[in-house]
Amino acid sequence: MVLSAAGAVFAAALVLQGIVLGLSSLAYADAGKPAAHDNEAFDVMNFLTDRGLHDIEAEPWNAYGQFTYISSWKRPFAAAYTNLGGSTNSMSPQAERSFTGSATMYVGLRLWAGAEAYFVPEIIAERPLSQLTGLGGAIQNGELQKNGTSTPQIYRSQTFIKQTISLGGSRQTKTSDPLQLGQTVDSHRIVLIAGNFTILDFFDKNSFAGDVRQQFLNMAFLTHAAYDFASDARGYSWGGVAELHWDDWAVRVARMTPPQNPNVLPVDFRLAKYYGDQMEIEHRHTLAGQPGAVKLLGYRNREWMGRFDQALAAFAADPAKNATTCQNYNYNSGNATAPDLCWSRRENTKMGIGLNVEQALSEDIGIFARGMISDGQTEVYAYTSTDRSASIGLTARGTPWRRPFDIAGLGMGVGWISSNHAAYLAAGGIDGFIGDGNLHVGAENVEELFYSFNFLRTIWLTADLQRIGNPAFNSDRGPVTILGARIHAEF
Amino acid sequence: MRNSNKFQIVIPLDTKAVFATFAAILPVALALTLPPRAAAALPVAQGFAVERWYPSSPGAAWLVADDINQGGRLGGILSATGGVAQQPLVAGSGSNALAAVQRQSQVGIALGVTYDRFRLSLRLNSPVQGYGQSGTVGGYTYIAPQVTLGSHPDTFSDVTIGLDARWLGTPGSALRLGASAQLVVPSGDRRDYLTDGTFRAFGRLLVAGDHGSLMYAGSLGIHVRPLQSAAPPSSPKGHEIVFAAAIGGKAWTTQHAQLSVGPEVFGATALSDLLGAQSTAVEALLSARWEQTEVVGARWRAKLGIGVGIVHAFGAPMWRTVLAIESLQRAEGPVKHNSNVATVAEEDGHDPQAK
Repeated sequence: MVLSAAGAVFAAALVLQGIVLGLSSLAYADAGKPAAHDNEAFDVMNFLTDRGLHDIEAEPWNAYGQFTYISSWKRPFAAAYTNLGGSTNSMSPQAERSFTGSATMYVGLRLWAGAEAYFVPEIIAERPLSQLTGLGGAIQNGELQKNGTSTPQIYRSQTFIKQTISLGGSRQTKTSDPLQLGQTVDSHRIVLIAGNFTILDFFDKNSFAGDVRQQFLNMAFLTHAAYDFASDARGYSWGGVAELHWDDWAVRVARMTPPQNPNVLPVDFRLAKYYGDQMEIEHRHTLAGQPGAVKLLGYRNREWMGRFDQALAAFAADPAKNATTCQNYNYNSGNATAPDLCWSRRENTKMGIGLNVEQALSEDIGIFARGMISDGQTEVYAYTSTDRSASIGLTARGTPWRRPFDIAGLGMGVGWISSNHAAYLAAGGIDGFIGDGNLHVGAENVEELFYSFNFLRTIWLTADLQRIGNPAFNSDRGPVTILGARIHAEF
Repeated sequence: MRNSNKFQIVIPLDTKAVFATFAAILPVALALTLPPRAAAALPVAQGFAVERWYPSSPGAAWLVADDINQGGRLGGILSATGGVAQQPLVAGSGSNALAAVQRQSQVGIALGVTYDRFRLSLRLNSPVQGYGQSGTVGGYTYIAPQVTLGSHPDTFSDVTIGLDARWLGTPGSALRLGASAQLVVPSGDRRDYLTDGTFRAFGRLLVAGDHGSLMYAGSLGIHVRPLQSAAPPSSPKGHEIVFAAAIGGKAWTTQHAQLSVGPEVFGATALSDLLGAQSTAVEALLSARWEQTEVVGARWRAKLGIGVGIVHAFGAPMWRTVLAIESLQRAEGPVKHNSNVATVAEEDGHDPQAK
């Protein structure tokens, strides 16, 4: 049973920050060149700093908060078939509305020299489109969680400790932000992180595409759609990260706990047996006087998951091993003529490699591109059903039209699935999110355009338009048009 | 009217503080007028919030009692608490005894903000471990919880929001009186024995004081608990009286830190069965705390408690250990009062001359 009136907790969390400290706003969103903390902004930590109650450049602690509400309206679309043969993962072709509402409090505390602790309670309520089925990597709202309900749920999203070991070099300034105490650090340093967080807190970060609350709404732009990073049903997990920073270079590795079964909340702490490993090499550069970065990311998951070819082989050898008869963990398909991953789950490995590039073109415009190839032999375990993905786009501030806090963005993402994955879906099989009962394979693609209108320096109101082609990699269905609206506040 | 001060005791009440205290307690008092909600009679005993160790607010010196010693300008507290309770729920007795909850462990993070005599707090507890024995007692089937960090990787059990105020005395004075109110917002699953699944509330009157090396604190209050499961053995029986008392002394003092030791006794009894064997739980906890005594800036406090159940209704375990670590931050400078300006040392209750 979940919290029945968690709004009271949300209110209390905000009261703790707001009633005593005053209302406020954060810095710029990450549009255009990555922005430093806006010391002129009327936010909590600046409020205290201005009154001599806080040192924002060498913080012993900080606290921030955010609220985001996103609503999506899906227009009716054409579909040659829906849930054919009893398969259950088609997106409904009827008009639908979806929403998410989240509120978060970020608390950071310096423990001792070089050590920081962070604690982030969060509350969320949501209603997905079609029970979050029928889309591969182009899920229209990256805030959606797999176990979400329209009743608010409060949970601990992040709790971790970070230890920085200085190795010299020049001094670099870290501005006060959520999950970051204001401080100066050495450009040569080792950073060790352990606890409960999402891997996206540290890996595959991109200044122009990666924040659903400020930038693109679609999950295709949150990270690589084909990056099946180990996480629970909310996107968080437990584990450790080690980073080496050396001037413009950084190398980071991590091992994280996977879910106990695909796409569920409980996680498996047998980290020597099942895990998600990743390694990233980052280089930051300046091109024509503007900053940019390139990141090469590889991941390897060892999990109890099904292979598409083995599920097909099991069904071909014995039709009784179909999607309706497996008693182990399964997705409750009603298609008795389809194979099922349930019959093929065992210890398997999934791997992928991807590139992430960002480049500021001016003070106000930035572009990004991502691409990843995963092996595509095994089922989605934590993120999306996509096996290969690419995305490009740009974001811009409204400085030219004298609205420097407004943000606009245009992006395009494409996803593909492997031949084995396609054969499995064509045979009527389903995975955690997709499976129409048949398949005429095509690349799932999304184009997104948004504009965020800022008012009161602390609130952004966004209008968003998305067009998704070949939903669930099926050219027999779609395209789907989704209109979105978002209100976001930071304090 | 004849004016006589012959038998009059002058108490330096702060009108605003008194008003705020009553404002905080009013919702609790109103909630008390609601009748307890009877749980549906089911053959399977439903879970509930078995824990009856209600930690003191973040920033309070004791583990259970509140020393209402807050003061000074704006302050913040971040507290981490961990606790293990052995056999907090045993249904039946003798050869029929069933440890439905054999062990329960939780970790809590609490945040607090203080200003002058007021403290606002939020406590978020996360289950770490919970298991027991399933079986039948008194015609009811008990299903033991199965809680691990893996099965509950991000769960918060009941969330507590609190407001405390001191309305008599100053920090470090021999007699301090105050009141507190807490609202408990349900979160988690009843089957895990972490929540009643209903809102709850506490209202308490607080007393505390320091005299030389001696310190004491106590509380008496009401726990508004709508859940009433009268039939299953060892289950909540509605609203409760809660109480706590603590006394201790400074065992070791340096210029910048001190170690204090003392016992705390606390418990609860249901109003519907006052002091009844099935509805009264009492525990004793030997607590020790080490704390830095700087009055402004950042300081740390660590608290350790080891205790046993004395009267074994649910919640009073066979034994319990508790550890809490707090980081306290306070801005420099005293608060200006209506009638006087206290010094920083007075505000914090630490007389540099006293050892």
